[in-house]
Amino acid sequence: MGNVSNPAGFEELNHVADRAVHVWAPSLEALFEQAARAMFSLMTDISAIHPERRHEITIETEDLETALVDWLNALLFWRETQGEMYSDFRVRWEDGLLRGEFAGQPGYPTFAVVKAATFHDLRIEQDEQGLWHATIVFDT
Amino acid sequence: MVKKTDLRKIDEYLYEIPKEFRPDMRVPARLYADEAILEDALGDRSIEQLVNTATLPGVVRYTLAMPDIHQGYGPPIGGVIATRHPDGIISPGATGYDINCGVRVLVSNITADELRPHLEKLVNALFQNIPSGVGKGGAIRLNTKELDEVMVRGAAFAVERGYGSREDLERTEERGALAGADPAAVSRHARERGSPQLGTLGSGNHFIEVSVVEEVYDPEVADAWGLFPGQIAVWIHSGSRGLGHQVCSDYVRDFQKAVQKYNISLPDRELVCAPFNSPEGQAYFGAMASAANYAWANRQVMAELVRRTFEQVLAGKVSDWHLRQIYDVAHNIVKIEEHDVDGKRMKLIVHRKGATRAFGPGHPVLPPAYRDTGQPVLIPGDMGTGSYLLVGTEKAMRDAFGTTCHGAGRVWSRAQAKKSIRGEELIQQLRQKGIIVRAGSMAGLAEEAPDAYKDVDRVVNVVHKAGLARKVARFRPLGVIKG
Repeated sequence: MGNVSNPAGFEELNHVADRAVHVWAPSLEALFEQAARAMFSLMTDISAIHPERRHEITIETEDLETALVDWLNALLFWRETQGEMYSDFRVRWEDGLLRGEFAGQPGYPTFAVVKAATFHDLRIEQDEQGLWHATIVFDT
Repeated sequence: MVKKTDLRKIDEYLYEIPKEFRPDMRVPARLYADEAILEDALGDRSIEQLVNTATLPGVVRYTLAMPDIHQGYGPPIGGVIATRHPDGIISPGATGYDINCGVRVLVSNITADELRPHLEKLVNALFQNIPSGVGKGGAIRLNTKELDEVMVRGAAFAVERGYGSREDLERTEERGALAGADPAAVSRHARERGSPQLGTLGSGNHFIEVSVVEEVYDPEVADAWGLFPGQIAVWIHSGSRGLGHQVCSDYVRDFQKAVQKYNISLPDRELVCAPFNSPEGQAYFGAMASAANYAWANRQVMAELVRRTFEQVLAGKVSDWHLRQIYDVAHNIVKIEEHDVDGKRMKLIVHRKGATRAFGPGHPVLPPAYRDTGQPVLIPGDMGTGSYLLVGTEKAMRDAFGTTCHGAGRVWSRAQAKKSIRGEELIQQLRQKGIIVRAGSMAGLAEEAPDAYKDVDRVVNVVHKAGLARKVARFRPLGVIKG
């Protein structure tokens, strides 16, 4: 895991048709967790979500970008089919597989829907300070 | 970044980026625009995205963008890409996540004056009766076999269940079912998302609108279609819901590998594609058609819910509450169509992403009601301004693969719109203009503020003057339901 003293966060970027975020974190795992937080923050205020229902998924990774898109789209699938909103995310890699844990609550108010995370302009990069960055465009 | 000097002006409303602009372009790229729209498009990456579409294998003649062009992901919104059948590419990203997002228009014999005393009640009842917003399930729960049927038979499935009439099918693009659907190519995840959502509006820019015919531009066509000033109409804008989103996500992901397999190099990963006649291409086409058919069934169910609501609120209070369908069009879809290319008739794979089919008079696929006039083209504007009914033209057939624009096109980001106005304020402003709005979410509503969109009058004037479709009538909104 990365150094917890490093900052992690996300900011929304201006994108005319849809929505885009820049996400950064000290480790790849934390980057994937931040990306999930950013995506759910586009849909609702996630601060008051009770992480009462917990799920775990496994994703086969091919490359980092595909793994990130798969992770986010899997969360959207769960959101829609379970009627839940999530706020708590844990990601780890094991034997080349991404294991993601996430928790949230059903029936939480949502003001917008994200249809999908796209591959458009998607890059995962590490800067000179060792921080990981990703820019993600969502179809909304 | 594309500069103005890189473009060649071909006509008053038509610009071309020549093939020589970038070495990877296979054909030129064209944009229908006036000066202001062109300046806007040069301000972001939409023209670069248009140029990217001209690099796709098998692309013919030129790729196109309509005046509602705005930056998307992959191709710009408002784009048309036609490739050679059967070995040209098919691209899920170039079709979009909301497969067969589209518009349906119904008209009544009620006038705005007759409706006025009942309008608020009608809008409230529509909001109550048609499931909208995030995560709302529909009235019809589908088992696996029924969902397969929806994906193959589209709107006809809904009609047989008592949602609407045969006449509605007659007045729907492709009669509400695209051939070639293959439910086996639709993933379990897509099915799970789709099975509870039939007959739901969704959120975002989707809406149901009660509007009035404000102005008629072409009395002859309006008369042939039964339109008159003061007439009440209903517009329904929705798509294939979670099922379509999942189909697109699945295939954009799977095609990352196909691109390597078929040795296709792309300027943007979201443009992933495969040859149409490859196993991957065929699977996507079968899944895309399944999602498109789901969308037609979805709008068919909602149209019937609208009719039942009109009956519930207006029966006995107005002379005739019945609603008759004018047409239903898709604006995110792939079609196999024949067009003339350099004097030769060719079968093509036509991608329309945020663009509407606009077939002209005499086209054999049009129903008898529209064979002489050309097809109705439905162009929704933003909720404060208005919408247009246009008619397809010969010129669209000749110059634009039978295509025109699909809406106003955004100029503000959703984040910017939300910062600029609150949903509650917007409802008050619209009420002062005589428009009643019911929305599931105030924040979601703010994203759809009229100022976030291009001026629809301006966009429509470009396609009208360029001859890609002719104005028939303009509608003014009276009541709007948003998710």
